[in-house]
Amino acid sequence: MKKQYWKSLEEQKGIGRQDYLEDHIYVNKNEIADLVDGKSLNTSSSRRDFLKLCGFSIASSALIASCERPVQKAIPYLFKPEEVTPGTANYYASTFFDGDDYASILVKVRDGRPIKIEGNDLSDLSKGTASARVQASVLGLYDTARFRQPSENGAVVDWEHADRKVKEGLESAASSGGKTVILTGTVISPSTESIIRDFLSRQPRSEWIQYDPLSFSAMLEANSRCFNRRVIPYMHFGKADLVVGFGADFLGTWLMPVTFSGQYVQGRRVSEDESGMSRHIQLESTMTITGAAADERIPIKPLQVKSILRYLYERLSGGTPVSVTGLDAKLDRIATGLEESRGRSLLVCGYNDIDAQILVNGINHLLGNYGPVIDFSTPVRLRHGDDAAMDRLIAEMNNGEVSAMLIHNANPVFDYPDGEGFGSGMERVGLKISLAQVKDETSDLCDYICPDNHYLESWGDALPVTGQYSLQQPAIRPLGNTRQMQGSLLKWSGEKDDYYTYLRNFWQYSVFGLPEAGKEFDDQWNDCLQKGVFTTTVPTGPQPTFNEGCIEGISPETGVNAGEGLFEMEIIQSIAIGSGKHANNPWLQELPDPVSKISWDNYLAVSPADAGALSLSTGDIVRVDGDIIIPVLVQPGQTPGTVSAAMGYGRSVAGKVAEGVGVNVMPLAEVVNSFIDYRVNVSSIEKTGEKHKMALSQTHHSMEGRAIVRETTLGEYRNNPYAGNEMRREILDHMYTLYDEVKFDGLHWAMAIDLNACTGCSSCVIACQAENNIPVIGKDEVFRRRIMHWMRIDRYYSGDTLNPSVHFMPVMCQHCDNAPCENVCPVAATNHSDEGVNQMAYVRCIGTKYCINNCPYKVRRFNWFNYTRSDDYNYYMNDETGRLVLNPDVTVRERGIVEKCSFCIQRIQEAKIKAKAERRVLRDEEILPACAQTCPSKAIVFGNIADENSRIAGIFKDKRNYHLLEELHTLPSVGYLTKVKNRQS
Amino acid sequence: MMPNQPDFFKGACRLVFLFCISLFLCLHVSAFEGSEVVDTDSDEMEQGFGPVTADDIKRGERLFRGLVPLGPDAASCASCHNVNPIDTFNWNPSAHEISRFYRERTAEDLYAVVMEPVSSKMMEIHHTYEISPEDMFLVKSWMDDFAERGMDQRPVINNLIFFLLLLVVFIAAVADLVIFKKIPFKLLHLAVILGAGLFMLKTIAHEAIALGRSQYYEPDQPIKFSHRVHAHDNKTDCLYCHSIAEYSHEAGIPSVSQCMNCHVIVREGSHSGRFEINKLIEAFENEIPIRWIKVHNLPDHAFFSHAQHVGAAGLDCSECHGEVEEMDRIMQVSDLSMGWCLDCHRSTEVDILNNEFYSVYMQLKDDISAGRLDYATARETGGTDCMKCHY
Repeated sequence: MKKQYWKSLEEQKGIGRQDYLEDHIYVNKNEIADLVDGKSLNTSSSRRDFLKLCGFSIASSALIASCERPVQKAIPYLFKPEEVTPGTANYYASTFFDGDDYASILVKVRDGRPIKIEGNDLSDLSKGTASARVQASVLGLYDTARFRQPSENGAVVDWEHADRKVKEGLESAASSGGKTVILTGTVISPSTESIIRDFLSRQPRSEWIQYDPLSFSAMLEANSRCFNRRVIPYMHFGKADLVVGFGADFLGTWLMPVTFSGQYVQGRRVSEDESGMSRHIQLESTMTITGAAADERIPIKPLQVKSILRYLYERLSGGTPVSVTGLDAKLDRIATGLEESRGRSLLVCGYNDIDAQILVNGINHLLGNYGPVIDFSTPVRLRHGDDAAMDRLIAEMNNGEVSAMLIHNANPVFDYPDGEGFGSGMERVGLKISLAQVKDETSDLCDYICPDNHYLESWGDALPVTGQYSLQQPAIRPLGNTRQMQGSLLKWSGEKDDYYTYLRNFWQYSVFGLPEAGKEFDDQWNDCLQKGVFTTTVPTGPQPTFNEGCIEGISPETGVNAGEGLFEMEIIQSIAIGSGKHANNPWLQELPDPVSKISWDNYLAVSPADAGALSLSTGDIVRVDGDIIIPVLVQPGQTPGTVSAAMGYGRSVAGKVAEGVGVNVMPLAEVVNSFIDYRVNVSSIEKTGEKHKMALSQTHHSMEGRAIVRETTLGEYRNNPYAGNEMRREILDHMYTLYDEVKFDGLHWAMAIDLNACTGCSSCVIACQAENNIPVIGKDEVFRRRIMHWMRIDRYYSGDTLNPSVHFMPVMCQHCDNAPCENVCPVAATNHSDEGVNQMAYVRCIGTKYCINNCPYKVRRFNWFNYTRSDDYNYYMNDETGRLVLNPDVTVRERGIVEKCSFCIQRIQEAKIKAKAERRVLRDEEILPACAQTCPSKAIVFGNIADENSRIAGIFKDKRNYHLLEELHTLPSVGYLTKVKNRQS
Repeated sequence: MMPNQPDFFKGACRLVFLFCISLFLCLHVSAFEGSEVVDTDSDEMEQGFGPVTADDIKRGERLFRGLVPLGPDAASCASCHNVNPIDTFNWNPSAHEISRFYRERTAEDLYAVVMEPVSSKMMEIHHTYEISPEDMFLVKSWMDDFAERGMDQRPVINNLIFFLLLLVVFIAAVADLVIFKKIPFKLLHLAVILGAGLFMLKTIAHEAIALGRSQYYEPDQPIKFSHRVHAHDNKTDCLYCHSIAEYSHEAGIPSVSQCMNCHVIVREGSHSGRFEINKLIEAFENEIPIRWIKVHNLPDHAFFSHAQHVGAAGLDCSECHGEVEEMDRIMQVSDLSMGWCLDCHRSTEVDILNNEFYSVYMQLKDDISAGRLDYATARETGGTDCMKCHY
């Protein structure tokens, strides 16, 4: 039976297109009717108007055309730096770490401006890839909300003054006997740790508290109790045959999603010769991309997790499990599966719940996963935050025990559950110094702002995983009068050295272990600086012993409140916004959530079952627990009885983009037993009767029920490699044409996307946006379904609405060799190149949009307005600083023209010119479009199919390969590989 | 068919009127196109010079223009240092340029330089001068005034007047033919209408094609840098200064420090004396970048890579830039239009047999070896695709 795929609940229920349009079309219907009837046209004087217009347009066009040549200046360098060649880009290896995500990166610098971030292929963690947030971070450099100079109570001061005042303040705080607290996000830089410790040693009664808005405190504590090691062990998703996730969105937001995606997908590659494919079971309450990737997804309530883990633990340890309503059979199956893959399985739990984490440790220990899959010898250092310390700090602040506070990379007023308590505590702190780089809710309450550089302007180092160092180097001079936070601390400690000198000395002694600076050190340092990463061998010792006693210490309480009509709410992170640190980044705000396809908002995801019972529909505004007012999204796959909402939205002090977008749900979270609990019981969800306009991009381009995504199961695939893709053979058998076959000599560019590898993480979307100068158009325009992304990720649901399968499909221009768009362009602005690229000459386009209408894939975008210069689109392209991020190799498009994916033609051209000049053959996969370059799971392959030996030519011959809507005989140059799930049916 | 005749005529007249206006504007503006507006920073300048009367200025001008002789057989200042804009290239600094240079200097400075020149070129001319310091003060007064006023813009004379004249004749002929009917010889009308019409059409077409192009653009540069002296007389290779042309999109204008590689020693020009090279030294010492005027301007939507043409294809610079080594003042020789690019792409042979890069073009190589094709041009390897230049 053909599987039913659907894109939205309306479509699944069979609501007709007309009904849908009536509900969702934004324009006034009468307006359209008037236009169609011609009522709005005054017919009496049309000829005169016409003549007037003729005259005017001739006059103005002549005027404009003849005025266009002003005298242009060409100003060369006075002293050209040796490494700079105007017109070509330099790449500098550096490090990104914002407290949440780590990435070793390459910064593309063109004519002195960083314009793009790419993963560093020498890094073992990212292998050249980067997440959407890392890709987007370059725009943060040009954020107008950044602090430009130090200030004192809002008045701009110079650094000398600020330094003197801060020093005096710190001295008087110490002499008053009060406490000095340094509050930071997690610090993974060894040199910064050392600087902070030095600072603490000089300041009496001082304490350093690290705070994570995305807390892993419970996991750290659990490991401390179970193994006596307060660290996060390294998890090898690629080494596990069976991965069981409990609310851990490890492909999207959890700990190191890019690293995990790479490993995970490695274990799930299928081909005719490869036999192994790992299995993945995900238990979660809301639909995440990790749940979507899973072979089996079990909807659970978040507070149920403890009983579930307890059940599994008892089953596996031979105890007597206590039944969990409705899930026993499934859990038994999981337990059997886990037993079968002892030492080759991996349980991860994303809840910040100490008991759950101890149970997960217990189960992993029972299965012998420590060692083969989970490794304590190379711990992950990305989270140090201690929730208990934070809890204590707020009490101390409110008691007036804290007299001075330095805050860096932490915004608890916004993202801590008791942000209000923190804010009121700050009022009782005498000296509050913010070392933030961008204004936020916490810095707003500080007396002194001593602004930090952007990370692209800074020196630094990082140790994300024991043994894997990386260096950070500035790619541009500070744009404002800012100073690195480390430099400020050194200054206030009374050190003579600047941070760069300190860093070099630190690396010399502590990392390289060289007793003196000299040539040996310089060579090593320069080598590291060039490569960006430095790996030391860490001996793999025995794993720490498991303390059996800690399982007994688990409280019998389940935490589940079983009251009628109560909802369990989970506060989650969205892929784009995360903890909200980069909420002022318009690229990220406009990035549609891969599952809900909503941008510019957070929302309360409600199960279709509950929505029916409460008569809620998408867009209804509800009041949660009396005080949070938030719109509803009916989310298929949401566990009935649960709701969820993303944190990071609702920033009140952040800059022009983020302010007023979404709702801050963190005040709903609670601190339970000194752990931030992102799961809460919600007593009431009331409908307010109002409606909220949400920028949904899911109905932009409905595939109208045709089977676009093709999938099969591993078993079927083993029997028949064409499984799920039978249609392809049929189409190939029936492919006849009266015309000559299009032949390409030499080069024929093509792309293949492995749907089995694509997780929907959306890195490619942002990479494409950064590379190709794609404008941000804002919520209203997205609502009108005009989103400009050249690369979109289509999401399809299939099956049961309460627990559907979710499929992601990245769609960009398919570069059809028989392209429907090319035939209809009246001015031949779009046509086919000799290399198989569907080319688009922007200067030729007159904006008839015929091509858009004739494109079966709906991948062409129209510039309805002047998105790039107009102040109506006040995001970044309209201001001079924001425009610095634009890629000079790609035209910035005008109003009134059509644009679309070009296969990153600028990269193709650059690589070709290089190869031609070197008189050599282009290497296979030498050219990487931005999407393929950044894809964490390497799902996108690009190359020349005219070359029989290229990787892409091999993939195009794969039996899983098919083309989108190939029955139309458009002959696309983009292939998709059938998705294979590791399950029976 | 035309229910509203007068209305139609009114409309048509209006159209013609607007069209004329537009054309006028178009021609007028394009006539000024490329002429650099000299920015005259009107700083207060007369400090320290004592009272300068209008008479002083007038007398100074007469001295400068040579109406009052400066010495036996002495050439007038203006004969070398042009007071009015000129088309030809003048090695010597213009009167305005000197005036601006000496605005912040005193008459004594000027006197010293004029009467005791250090450069051989100046010595040759200036040795016959007999100028008193008082006269020099008058010249200086005029120069200060001149520095502020700036050079007169040359009156724009082009075929606009002729065009308008013809237009009048044309309209008269049409009017007489249709309305007044004073002249009985219809053939005359026809001849006038045809002749004038065709000429006007030709002019319009010509102007329209030239819109946005600037062939033969040859502006004065801030420093009289001569490619002839460097590339021809001194045989400097193009790529010595434009060293990145082989690797980058841009050919690159050399940095000031690169100029100083040679000019640290070469302080006097063979034609220009010291005045021009001194500007370079000054830029270097005061760290003020030189603001050259860009001559070859491609529109932003056209991507041109020197690396492709110079580096990969090995084209000679002169293919596009003309005989640069013969130019004292750089001029755009080609019109840099798309048609011009494509003409070359359609006819230039590509070295596909020897460059390994082209080894993938199997069919093309077969065709050549089988004699079906004499040679491959850039068109055969995709050189006329839109996205070779527009992306």
